[in-house]
Amino acid sequence: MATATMVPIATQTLGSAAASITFSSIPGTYTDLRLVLNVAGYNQTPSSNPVMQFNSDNATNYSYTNLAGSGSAGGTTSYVPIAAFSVGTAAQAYSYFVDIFSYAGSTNKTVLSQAAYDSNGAGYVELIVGLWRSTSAITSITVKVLSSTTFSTGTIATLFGI
Amino acid sequence: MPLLQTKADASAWGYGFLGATASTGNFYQIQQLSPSAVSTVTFSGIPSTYKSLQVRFNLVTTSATFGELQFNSDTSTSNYAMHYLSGSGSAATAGGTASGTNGYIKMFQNASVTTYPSVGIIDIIDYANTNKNKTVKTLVGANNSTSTGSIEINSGVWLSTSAITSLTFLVGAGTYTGTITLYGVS
Repeated sequence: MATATMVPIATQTLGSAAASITFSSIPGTYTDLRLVLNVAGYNQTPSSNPVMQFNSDNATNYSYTNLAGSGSAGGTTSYVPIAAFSVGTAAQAYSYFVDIFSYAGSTNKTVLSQAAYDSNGAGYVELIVGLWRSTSAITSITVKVLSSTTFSTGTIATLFGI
Repeated sequence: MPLLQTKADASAWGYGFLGATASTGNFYQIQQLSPSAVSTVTFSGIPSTYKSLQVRFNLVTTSATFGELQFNSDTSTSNYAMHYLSGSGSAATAGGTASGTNGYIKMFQNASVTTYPSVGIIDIIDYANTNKNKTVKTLVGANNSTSTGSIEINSGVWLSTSAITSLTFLVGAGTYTGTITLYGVS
């Protein structure tokens, strides 16, 4: 008998602007995680991009490769970008789908991110593979933007267990 | 179906680009395998009761190699073709392989070895339909912590109208260890 999965673990809907979104105390009972983030715009133009960190690790234990037009590599960083394109300020929705594989296992953690936005004349679509060099189980995820800005009211983030 | 959905309630759009929408209640784990130092594994006896299949994998390989996907134990080179769009960290490339070349769909080019997993999501839409060939979309990637990595989105076709009842995963060289899980979307 197949087992139903793709279970929403938690959803956060911002009632006011916030600089970051954190999911903590993530249970280790699933195989993978999927973070679905729909950002209802950003409140400043920071020329920066949204990123994620695990277990509050701020060290340079992350790296990534992205595919967006010409493609580029980020080398070693202190985060995994969920998109490498800079955010804007208009009330345009940004959609991010981040898959975190074997998050509770003992291997290093590899992540796939799909990101997109469209503002009727301009847009962006991007794929990223990211790595967190840690064999620890992921118990918390923080999403934020590198430089000073906030996620707009109405931004929704849902963490699924798969 | 739009490529992206925007919903006030995010509960029904956890499945992603180019795939059928899944939500709680219609995404089922059919089988999970935990291969250890092997070069091939097979999901067999796949029921035909779902609309789509999704395979998710997290694999550490012993060689910088590529993954392969076969259906129903079909190894004929005339029955498989694929195209890819890939980013290596320094360039973006695109290309393809017509039928007559490989007896499988190439899934990923692993730039990573031994320590850092290759991961992927494979969507197989309408896999049980007996009136059309089967098209596959894969999103796969690996990063080895320095400047080397690979992120790809691929299409593949199995030129057969048979219902898919088994999936076999192979690697071009060496062995792999990790987790491969088969899901059904109803």
